[in-house]
This record gives sequence, structure tokens and C-alpha cells, in this order.
Amino acid sequence: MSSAAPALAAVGDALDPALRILTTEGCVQCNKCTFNCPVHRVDVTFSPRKVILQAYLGGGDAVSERDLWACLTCGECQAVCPTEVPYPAFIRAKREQLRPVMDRAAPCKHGGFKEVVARIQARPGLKPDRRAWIGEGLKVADKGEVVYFTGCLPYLDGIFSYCDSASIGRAAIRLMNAAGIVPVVANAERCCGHDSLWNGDTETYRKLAGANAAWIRKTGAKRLVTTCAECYSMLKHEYPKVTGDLGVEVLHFSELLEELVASGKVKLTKPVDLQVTYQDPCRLGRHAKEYDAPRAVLKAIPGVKFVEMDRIRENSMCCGVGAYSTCDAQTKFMQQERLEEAASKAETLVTACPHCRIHFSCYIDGRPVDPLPALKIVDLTVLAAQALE
Amino acid sequence: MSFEPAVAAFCCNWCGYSAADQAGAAKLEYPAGVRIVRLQCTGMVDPYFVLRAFERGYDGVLVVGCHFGSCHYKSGNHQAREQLDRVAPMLQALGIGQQRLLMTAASAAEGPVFAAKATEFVELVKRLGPSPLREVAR
Repeated sequence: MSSAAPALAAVGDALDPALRILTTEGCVQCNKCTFNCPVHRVDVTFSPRKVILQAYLGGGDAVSERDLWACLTCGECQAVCPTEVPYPAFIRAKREQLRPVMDRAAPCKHGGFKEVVARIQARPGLKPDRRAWIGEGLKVADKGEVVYFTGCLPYLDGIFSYCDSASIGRAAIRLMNAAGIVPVVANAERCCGHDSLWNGDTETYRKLAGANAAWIRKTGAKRLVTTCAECYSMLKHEYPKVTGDLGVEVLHFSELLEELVASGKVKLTKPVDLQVTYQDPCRLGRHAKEYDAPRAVLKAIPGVKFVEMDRIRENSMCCGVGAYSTCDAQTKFMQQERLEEAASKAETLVTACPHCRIHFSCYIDGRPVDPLPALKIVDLTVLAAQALE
Repeated sequence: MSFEPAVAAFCCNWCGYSAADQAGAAKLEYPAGVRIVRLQCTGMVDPYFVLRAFERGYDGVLVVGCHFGSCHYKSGNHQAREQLDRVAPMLQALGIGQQRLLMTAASAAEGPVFAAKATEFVELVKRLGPSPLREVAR
């Protein structure tokens, strides 16, 4: 019987290494994931279940390049999976594994723009100037209790001209200043590495995470706040795996704002007369399990009438693009579906992630003749800042 | 060793490149560090081109198109201007510096103008020093 153990080990080695990420029960092939997958709804040939089966049966390179990059890593499949198979994490491992052998590297749909910005920031010896966008009248510091991690806000306007993304940062600083907080905005900050990690470029991700962890520790701050759902999920859940404890409490801006409003430090008094609905960003919701803080903030803004869409929280539908690696005609169908749902409930769609805002605004901006009702996409932070006197 | 800047020059087929061609035919001199990339029109210049050039270690990026109003494709150079105006603050934020990016114009008949502008830009980059992304010894 002594030969049984090596035989089993050999089977284990033949398995696709990325499958080791799966839970001990593994995939039971029930297909619930497929029926909840937003990609499957617009392209019936795409199925997470099928991809896992191929990986079980075929080993290392059985997953096609198309299936590998069609996944949005939004996590709707994992939310409904009876054995909680971490499909997004599996896809991430797969991308990391296959990236070196693929003909073409990760397909960034903006001609590689996001990737090149991340790679440049991973280089040592740069002296960035990350405060030019802040403008007059807002206070930031080099040292303090609270760090404001701006993420890619200073760069996004370089390419997404239809979305004043820096306004999100200005609104956040204004709200913090109103509460007497002068946040640290560091020139040493680097890209959080979200897109690098999810597109399989782990080398760049590790460099960025290391550089960020170093300056965050040096500030001696107690809390770190970010307005971006992607940065939040990275700093809170992914960084500790590669850099160890950052020594700060990581908060999404909605969490900080909820606290500041509850304690009366920020007074949202100016009425904002809007009927709004809320898009759960996948990175904040399903990835980081924060559903309530943004809703609490929305309810605290006077004049705002908050209506829920039908698919919310764990079942929230993705904005259509994950890590800038997927955007095609199918994406547009997904966005149309979600925006129609939002427009049936409210005139303004609020989101807590600058990237959801960009992807939805891109859809609206790109199709001015589309019969989609006039729907505004607004960031939660910007909306809250409108309620300041 | 003195610092000889490497400059990526994106030139449009109709004006910038023809001007460079004419400068060559007339045996005009401009610094050898100017590496010309011919594009059909400067309108295809993308923020990615600029950032990729810097990532590859170039010290400056020069975009040479037609004069405004005489673009072969009517508005390509205006598009390029728009794109580059957006990428400049990004270069500043990244710590590369927006002075390292310049868009200029030289018509097909302006060989001497091309040579003069290229020389002038290389002199400027020389004063700025090597790009922070340059990997060779400084």
C-alpha cells in the first residue's frame, strides 16, 4: 500500500497548479456560476464552470486565452457558489501563470496606457509631483494622522477626458478639511498595483506594493483612507499578503465619512435634491464586503431620495470592465442593461469607485444618440461634498 | 562622459518626416540622438506612445507635424495637440517633467526649420539632464 501516496502526489502534480486555490470541496459543476455570470448573459459560450472543468481535465494550458481574458473578475460567480470556489482568484493565478507564454501580454484596452503608467511608477529613482491637481484652498500635509491615498486620480484625466476624475480627490480633501483633518497626500505614492495584479503582472505589483508599504510606514499615520474601491481592496486585503502589516487602519472614504457624519464632525446640511440609486463596485462590495457605509452616507445627505435597484449587494451587476483588460461590444450590452436598470429607478447613479464611473460614463459619452434616458453618473464623495455649506 | 540625450521624434509623413528628409538631403546637421519614428499623421500619437518612449529610457519626446491649418488630414495635428496637452500634466505627476515633451511643426519645405528645432530641443533636454527613467550610467 506504500505506493498509493506517491501515486496520489503524482496526480496532484499533473493538475493545473492554479487549481490549488480552489476550496477543498472543489467545483461541483452545478453551473450556478454560469447563470449568474454577466459575461455569460451576453455571450453564452463563456462559462466559468466549463473553464474549471477544462482546468481539472486538461492541466496547465487547457484554458483558452479568450476565456482567460473575458472574465471581469467581478466575483458574481463566487457569491452564488455553493462551495465558494474563488473563481476570480483562480483566474488571477491563471493569468499570472500563462502571461509569460502568451503571444501577447494582457490586453489593456487603452493601448497599454494603464500598464505603462504602473510600470513607470514601479521604477526606482522617480520623484513624482502628485499634488498639482489639488489646486488652491485645500489643505494637505506631509505628516499627519490620516493618509489620503489618491491612487490613479492624478493620471486618469490624461486619458479619460470626459470624466473629471480629479474632482473626486478634491471633494474628499474638502470633506476632510471640513472635519478638521489635514490629510497626508504623499509625493512618494505609487499606483496601488491593482491592474498589474489582476492582469497577472505580479512582478510590477510586488514592486509597487513594496514601495507603497515603505512610505506608508514612514508617515507614522494611524489611518489610511482612499476614495477608490480598487485601492481599498488592494491595501486592505492584498498588501498584507506580500508586505506584511502596514501599521495603519485602511478605510474606504465612505466608511470615514459615515463615522464623521455620525460624530457630527462633518455637517451635511445643504439639500441636494436628487433621486439616486447606488452601484456596488465589485472591489468594494463582493471583494471587500463593504455594502453598508456608502448607503449610510447616501441616507445622511439631506434632500437625496435613495432608491435601490433590483440587483444589489452580493448580486450587484458589474460595470462591465475589470482591470481595464476587457472592453468590447459585449461590455456595452452589459452596460446598457445595468444603466437601463438604474435609469428606471433614478436620475442619478452613484458609485463609490472612480473606475465604475469611468466605464459607465464612457458608455454614455460614446453613444450620444442612444435612446438611453438622461442618467448622470456621480461619485459618492462628490455628491457628499455638494451637501457641504 | 558628456550627456548626449536620446530623443524620440514622432514625425508625420507629410510634413515633419519630409522636412527631416530634406534636412538630410541638404546635409544639414542636427544631433544624432534624435531617433525619428515616421507616422502617417501626428493625429495617431497616443499618450501610450509618449509614456512608452520614456519607459524605454528616452530623455525627450518630440512630435513634429504640419502647421495648424495645413494638416494633410485636416485636423490630425489638432488631435495630437489635444492628446499631448492631456499627457503633459501626467508626465509632471510621474516626475518625468513636462518640459521633456514638445510638439512643434515643420512643413515639407522646411528642412532647416526641422534641423534648428531638433537641435534646440536637444539642447533643452541636455540642460534638464538625463531622464529619471534612464538606466544607463549618468
